[in-house]
Amino acid sequence: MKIIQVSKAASAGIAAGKAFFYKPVDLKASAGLVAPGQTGAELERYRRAEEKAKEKIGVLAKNSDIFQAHLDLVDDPALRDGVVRRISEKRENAELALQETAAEIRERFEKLDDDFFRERAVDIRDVCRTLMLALKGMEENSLAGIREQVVLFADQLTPSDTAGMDLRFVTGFVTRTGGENSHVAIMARSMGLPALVGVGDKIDEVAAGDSVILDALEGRLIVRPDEATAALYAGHREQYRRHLKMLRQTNGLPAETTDGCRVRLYANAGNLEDVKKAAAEGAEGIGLLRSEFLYMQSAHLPTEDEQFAAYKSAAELCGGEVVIRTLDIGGDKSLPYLPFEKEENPFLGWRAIRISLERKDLFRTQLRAILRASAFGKVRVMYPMIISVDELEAANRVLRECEEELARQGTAFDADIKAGIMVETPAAVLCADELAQRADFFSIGTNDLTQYLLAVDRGNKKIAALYDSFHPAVVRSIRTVIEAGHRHGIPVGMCGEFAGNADAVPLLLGFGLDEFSMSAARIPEIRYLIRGSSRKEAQGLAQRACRCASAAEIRRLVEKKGK
Amino acid sequence: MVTQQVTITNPSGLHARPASQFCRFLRKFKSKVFLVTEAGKVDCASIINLLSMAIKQGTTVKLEVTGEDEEKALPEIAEFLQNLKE
Repeated sequence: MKIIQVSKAASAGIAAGKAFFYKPVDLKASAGLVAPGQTGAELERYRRAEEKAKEKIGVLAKNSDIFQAHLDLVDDPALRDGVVRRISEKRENAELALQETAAEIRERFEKLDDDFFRERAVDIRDVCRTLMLALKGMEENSLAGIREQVVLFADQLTPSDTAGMDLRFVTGFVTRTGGENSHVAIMARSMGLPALVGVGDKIDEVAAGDSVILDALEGRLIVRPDEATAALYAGHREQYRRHLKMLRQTNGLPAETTDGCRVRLYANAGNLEDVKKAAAEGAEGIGLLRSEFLYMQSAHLPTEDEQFAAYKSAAELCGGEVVIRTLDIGGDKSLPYLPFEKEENPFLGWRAIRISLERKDLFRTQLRAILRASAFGKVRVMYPMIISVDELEAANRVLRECEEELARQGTAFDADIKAGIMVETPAAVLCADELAQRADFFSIGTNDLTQYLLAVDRGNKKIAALYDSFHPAVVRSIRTVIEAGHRHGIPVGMCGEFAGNADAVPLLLGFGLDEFSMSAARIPEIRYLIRGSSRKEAQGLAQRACRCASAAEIRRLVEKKGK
Repeated sequence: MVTQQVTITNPSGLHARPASQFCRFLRKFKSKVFLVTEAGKVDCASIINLLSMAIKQGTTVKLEVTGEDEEKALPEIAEFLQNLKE
C-alpha cells in the first residue's frame, strides 16, 4: 500500500476503482504542402470539418454553456482566418494549418499571468481536437468504452473528454496538469465527481490496473490499499454520501430551530467572486465584505467611482443585505501607494479605524462610495477594531458629513443607512453597553478577539495550541457582547471563524446570536445543525458552558451534545 | 471612428461567459468594434482575441467603433460592458 499526498482537490468526494490511464489518440498532422491548384479543395475540406464539428458540439451545447462557447470558438475569426491564411498563402494542408494555428493561439494564452484566463487554452485545444478528428474522419470514444469501475488518470482532460465519461464506471479522475478553475474542474464539481488536478509527477507513482482510492476530501491517493484501509474507505465513502444527502435535504430551508427561533445565515466575502458563491450556497446576505480587496488589487488608491462600482455590484449580486467593513489593514500588509512605517507590534499598531480616522481623506472616499451604493441595495457600514466610544462617534461624524455632502449634491443614498462596529478588542467587550447605545449593530470578530483576549499571536505556530476560541474568556465575552447588544435593542452577529464552527452552534444559539456569517462553504452544514437544534436546550447548555473552568471542559460539553 | 473609455466592473472581468455574451451582442451592429488596452488592440469579433487580453475587473479599456452605425452603436456597447453582472 502506498499513500500519495497531493494538494489540489478540484472536486470533493471519495472514489475507488482500478487505475485507468487515458491516452488520447495521436492526432499529429502529417507535414505536407498541397499543389497550387489544390488549395481550394483544402479550404472546402476545412469548411466541411467545421460543419461536422459544430454538429457534434451542438448536441453537447444544448445543456451546457461551456459547449455553447465552444460552438462560438469554431466560428471565431482568429481561428478561421489563421487556418484559411495558412492554406491559401503557405499551401499547407488543412490538418497542418489547423495544428499550427491552434499552437499559435495556445501559446498566446499560456503566456498570460492569470490562471483563470490561461486555463481557457484547454477549451481551444478541445475545439481544435474536435475539428482535427472531423478532418481525419476519426471518432474518439476510448472513454465511452470503459466497462468496469475505474479512477481515470490523464495528463490533461478537456470538457469533451469529461462529457464523454460514463459515470456508471468512471468514479473520479486525477490529472497531471490543470487547476481548480479549469472548465473540467467546474464540470467535475457540478457532476459531483471527485477529482484531483495538477498532481504533477506524482501521477507516475501509479501504474495502470492498480487498485486505487481517490480521497478528494483530504487530497490523497491510496494505491493498492490493504483490506483494512479499503474497508475503512468504503465506510468513509458511504458516510460522505449520506452526509451530502442530508445537507441537500435542508437546502433552501430557513435557518430555524426546532422550537421556531429563526437566525440569519450570512457569508463572509473577500471579493466579488465570493459574493457570487455565497448566493449559490444559500447565504441570505453578506455579513462581512472585506473592502481590502479593492485596495490590494489596485496599483493606486481606489477612487470613489471604482469603489462605488464594486460595492454596487456586490449589493446587486447578493440581493440581500451587505455589510461593508471599512478598510482594515495595518503594518503586517502594506500597500505600495500607502507606505507604513515598520512597527514593532503591527497588530497593536497603526491599523484599521486608526488609519481611517487619521487619513480622513481615504475614509471619506470610502464612505461616500458606500453611501452611493446604498441607493442600490441594502448596504450597511461597519468599522473595524473599535476600542472606544470616542472612535465610534468620530467615525459616525465623518459619515454624517459625507451624507450631508451627498444630499447637497443631490446624489442618492439610503438616509437610514445602519452603521455598526466589529467587536474584536477586549476594550469593546468591556464597554459593550456604552457602544451598543451608539452603534446600530454589533458583529463579533472572533479571530482577532481570541488573539487579543488570550494575548496569543494567531500566526505563531509555536503557540498555535494556545489559540482557542472555546477558551472560557472568549466564550464569556461572546455572551457579554450579545447580552449588551440585546439590552439596547440592536442585533448582534458574528463574522469570525467561530460562527462556522459546528461545535459552537449550540453555544451561539443559546446566547441568542442573531446573525451567523461564515465562509460560504460552511453554510449548508451550519444550517443543517441549526435546524436540528432546540433553542431552549441550547440556552441551558450555553449557561453551563459559561461556568466551565477550561476550554477542554467546554469542548467536552458541546461535543457530548453532538453525539 | 468614435471612441470611449470604459471601466470593466463585473467581478470576473471579460472571461468566457461575459466575453461570449459581448461577442454575440456585437453581431447586431454593422460597425467594427475594437478594444484598446495597454497590452494592445483587438478586434472584438473574435472571442479568442478578446480572451487573450485577460481583461480583469477594474481595467479601463478604450472602445473604438468604426462603421456606418458607429454613433448609435458606441453608447449601447459601452452600456452593455458596464452592465455585465457575472
